[in-house]
Amino acid sequence: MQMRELIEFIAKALVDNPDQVKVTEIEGEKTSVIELSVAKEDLGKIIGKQGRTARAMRTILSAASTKNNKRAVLEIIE
Amino acid sequence: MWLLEKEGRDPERLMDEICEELGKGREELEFEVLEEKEGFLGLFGKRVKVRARLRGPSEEELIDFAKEVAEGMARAISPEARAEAWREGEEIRVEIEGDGSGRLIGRRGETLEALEYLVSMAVSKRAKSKRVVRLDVEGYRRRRRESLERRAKELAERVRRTGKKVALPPMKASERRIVHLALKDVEGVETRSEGTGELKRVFILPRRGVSRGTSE
Repeated sequence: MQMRELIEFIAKALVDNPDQVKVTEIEGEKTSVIELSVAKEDLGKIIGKQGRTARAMRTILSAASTKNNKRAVLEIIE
Repeated sequence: MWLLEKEGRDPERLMDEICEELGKGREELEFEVLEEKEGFLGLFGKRVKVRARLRGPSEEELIDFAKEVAEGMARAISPEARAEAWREGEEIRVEIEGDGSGRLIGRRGETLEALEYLVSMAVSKRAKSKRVVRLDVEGYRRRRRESLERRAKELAERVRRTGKKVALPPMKASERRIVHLALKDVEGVETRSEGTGELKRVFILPRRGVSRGTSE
């Protein structure tokens, strides 16, 4: 699974409006930026209490990206 | 939450009407049929009330979903990973087998915890109510618990011998609990958590009021 697909997979499992989950990947030489945007009312679900959900997604993302020897950074677009 | 209620004679027909009115298929709804008292002298047959609400996923579906989500995430980290899920009491348990590299566990289990948290959020979302998911990777949690229990018992023995308290390294709540439970029936010692947040740790102390023949 690509990093973009991974984030899309997780986000869609967490929100009320999966059809409004949009993920784009901006590839750099060593670092990819994964941009995630969701319906406004789902933003809280993606971030979580004290940012816990976003933090967990970042943990999974960085575990997955060491496999590819490429860093990936998650940005949540508000 | 009941969405709609209809009264009539033929429950099947009432269900069809409800489906039609709500624009839902039969499989999306859960029905309850309430029988009313028999009609006047039984002349009109029994009247029934049918009400409907959205059907939540069955336990089986939830468990499959937990497995699917866990495996999907795990495979992004370790392509050969396999997950199993089952129910244990009220909890849903998930066990992941990876490539043994520890990538699914992470430093001090942080990847494992992130997996557990996200699976439980996704499952609770699907179930429309809070569900507890406990997840393990390659038996990490089990081994960690066993080694903590062993360590706690060794230290308790030392406390009994010396009469001096010892501190375990800072641990999170679930791990402190393992220590408390491991020592709750051990004679001559007691446990207490002290400190706050990240620095909270368990102390093992000689139990007060127990004569040991030594003085501090």
